[in-house]
Amino acid sequence: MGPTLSGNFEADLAFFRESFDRSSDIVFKELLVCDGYRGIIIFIDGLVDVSLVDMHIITPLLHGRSQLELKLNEQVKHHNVQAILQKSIVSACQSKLESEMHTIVSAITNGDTILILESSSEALIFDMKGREARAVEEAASEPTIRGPREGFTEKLRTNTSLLRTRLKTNKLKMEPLTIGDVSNTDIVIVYLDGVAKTELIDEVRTRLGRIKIDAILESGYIEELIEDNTYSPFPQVLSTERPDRVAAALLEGKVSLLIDNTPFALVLPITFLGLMQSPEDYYQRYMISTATRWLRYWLAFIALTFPSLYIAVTTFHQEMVPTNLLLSIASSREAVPFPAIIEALLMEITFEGLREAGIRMPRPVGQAVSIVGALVIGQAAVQAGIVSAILVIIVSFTGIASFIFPSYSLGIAARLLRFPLMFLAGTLGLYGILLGLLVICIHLLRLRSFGVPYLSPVAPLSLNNLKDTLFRVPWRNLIHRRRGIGE
Amino acid sequence: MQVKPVILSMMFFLILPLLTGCWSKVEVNDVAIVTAVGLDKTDKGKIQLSLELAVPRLLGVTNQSGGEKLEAKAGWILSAEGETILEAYRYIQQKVQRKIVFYHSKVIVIGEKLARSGVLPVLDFFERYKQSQIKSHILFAKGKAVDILEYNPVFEKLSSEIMREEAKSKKNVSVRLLQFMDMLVSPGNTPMAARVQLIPAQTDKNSGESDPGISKISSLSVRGAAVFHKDQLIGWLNETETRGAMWLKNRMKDAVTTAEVPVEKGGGRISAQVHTASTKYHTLAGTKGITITVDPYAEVSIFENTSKLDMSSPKDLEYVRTLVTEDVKARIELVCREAQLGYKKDILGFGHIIYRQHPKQWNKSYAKEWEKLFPEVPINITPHITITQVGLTNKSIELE
Repeated sequence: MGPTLSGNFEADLAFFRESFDRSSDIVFKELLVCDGYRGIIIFIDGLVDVSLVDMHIITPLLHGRSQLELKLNEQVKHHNVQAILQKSIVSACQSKLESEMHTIVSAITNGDTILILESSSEALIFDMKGREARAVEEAASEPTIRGPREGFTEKLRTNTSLLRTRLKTNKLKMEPLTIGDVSNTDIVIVYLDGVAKTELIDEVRTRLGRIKIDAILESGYIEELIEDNTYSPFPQVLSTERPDRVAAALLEGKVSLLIDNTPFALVLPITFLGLMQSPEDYYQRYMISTATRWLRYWLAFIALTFPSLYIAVTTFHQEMVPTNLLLSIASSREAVPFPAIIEALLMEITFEGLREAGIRMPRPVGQAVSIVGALVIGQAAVQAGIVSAILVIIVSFTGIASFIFPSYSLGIAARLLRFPLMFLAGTLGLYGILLGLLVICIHLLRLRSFGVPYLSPVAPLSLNNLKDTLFRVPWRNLIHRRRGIGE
Repeated sequence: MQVKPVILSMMFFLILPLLTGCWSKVEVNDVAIVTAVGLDKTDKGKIQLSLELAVPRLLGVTNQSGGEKLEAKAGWILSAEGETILEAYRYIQQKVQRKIVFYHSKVIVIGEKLARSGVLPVLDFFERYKQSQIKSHILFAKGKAVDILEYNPVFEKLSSEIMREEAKSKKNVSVRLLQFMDMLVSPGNTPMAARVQLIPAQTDKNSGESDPGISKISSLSVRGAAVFHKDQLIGWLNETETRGAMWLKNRMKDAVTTAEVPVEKGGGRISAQVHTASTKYHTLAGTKGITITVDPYAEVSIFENTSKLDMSSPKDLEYVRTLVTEDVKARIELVCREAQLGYKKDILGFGHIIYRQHPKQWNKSYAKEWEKLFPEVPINITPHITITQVGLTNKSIELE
């Protein structure tokens, strides 16, 4: 328990002035309530909708005088001015009384508006937040053709409302939480009561409670701090911008974390195959979705292994290639001065570099990068005899394939693992690739996301849940899926 | 404690490339790919090994300038002589800077001279060497194998490509190395393999199989068959005889038979395509001697009808069926007669059929004197033909 409001108006005011000295955006607005009661309104400019404060606090206090006087005459003696103000005068819908200094200060920093009256040991806190925020826009990182266009924004309240509109039930619980000694970031644990397992929710609460950090600037912080295995390239928590995806996950009994100041919500637990699914799978016809999923699995494999297979086959296993294909590979490699591994590494690194540059580049310059990239990779390198035409096809196909991951973070993992596989292929051939894939498999099998095996429902096998992983059976047969994950 | 395995595996990955040194690494532009192997016997009795090496520079996309010259060939023929294949191969390797690899060699061509003196000694290399494909096609050249390899193809860039395509087509008795060796060693059987030769591209004057002269523009063709006694080549079958042999060897897949309609029935010809064919054997091996009955079953469809027969009439159709049956019978009889009267040797592997149907008697009595018995063995041929389709029309168009 910290210090409370003393009731001495001057002293209290001095305390707040001192707490917020050297802060240009703090506003102290003194008023005279009822000729004699001095009052002060404190808020941070920019976090508060000033017009609301004007209309609903200041105006009633100054102009509702007659009504106020009426009531004051009766009750002032009972030192209950605050309550009268709260109930009868000020027309703000969210307000509460608070006397503890520490809480009041954090309410101010949080964007609340404070009203303190002379000779009162309690402050009135109004919620009139009016921060500048981005409008609800399409989720940039997870576009769909069919499906809602709304994506989360940086504003926590908007995000919770996006979920509420999707699941209109009192079973949708949103537990608030603040993490970060300095940032005091608001976090909301969202789940469907009765659908999500209580052990899971408890586990989430404990893991979140264990976090000791000064600031949370993005959900990535939380993700890393609560995941089961930090030493893994694979994401164990899904981060998404799409409210429909979160709503679907909640219906499956998963838990979601909404974090203020980032449009990325976290969903957990998550499985490997869950990360390979796009929300659109459920909006399109099931046959098409099933086919798309298979295409995605196949291309995911390509994205991981294609360059290494090329290296292995051209440097160790020429006998495995059909004669004509080998001859055409040989003819295109004829002028290339590097061994296949160097050639492939060169191109892969160039490609990854181009991709990274394309993201970081200022928009107007981006165009130039892609033109240079297309020329460098597509033509000049082949004509100069540095790389073979076949490799360009392989690298570009791998590039296309690596964009197929519905989860960006899983895609990065595949991109990263491609390189050790290429080294293995260059040293041990197919045997090396197989070893590498085995290591990846073993790692995936060991991995767990909040107690759920990462490869479920394939390992451990659950035939019933396979309906919604390898296939997407029609909704009619999928209804019972609601029983939840990890069963 | 979870850090340890990660660090260990990272070290593993980092050190791995340094440790191995890629000792078995061979880049594609460091190998010379053999696409066909030719084997001949020199006058001194040595083995002459000829290899067709694919030259990637002349293949594929990088070579866009070509086109004017028909002789643009992407193969390079190298030969060397040696006591054994390996020895000759070593001599060739000395001439080439790149490492010669055999794993894409799909064709083995054996010259007539070597074949006549017995092929057994040269087969071991292909059976034993790990790079050689046991499923290579084995072909016998009328003349020298190296001449076949040196042929400049028109459509393809490599002569091996033509031989492979032709050998794969169902029109001839193409035999793979494995099958050849199997036929060689199974009791009573004799191998038979396709013949490859150069023939003039145009059928002008005195055309025919027997023309040995290689004209300026010739065509490489896999047709006819080489017949063996034990492992020695003893002769060739021409195309018609090969057809008959293919019926007997149960390898008839895609064939056309043409039956001539007698003049009293209106004249003309009827061509039928064989869709499915299989041949069954019934053999009697008793005290009275051996009788072999060949039952080829075939489904055919009429492709061409220049006669006056009406395909919608059951009577006419039945007549056509007997004509086709006669034709098939004649084809098979032809080759049987050639074997029994011409070569007087079981070049068609009837002995193997007897062995399979009567193994005990074969081992006991026939195996040793089969050579003497064979020319006298009666062979009955009873084809069973079914006409399944007659085409889109029944009766051919006629003028009033």
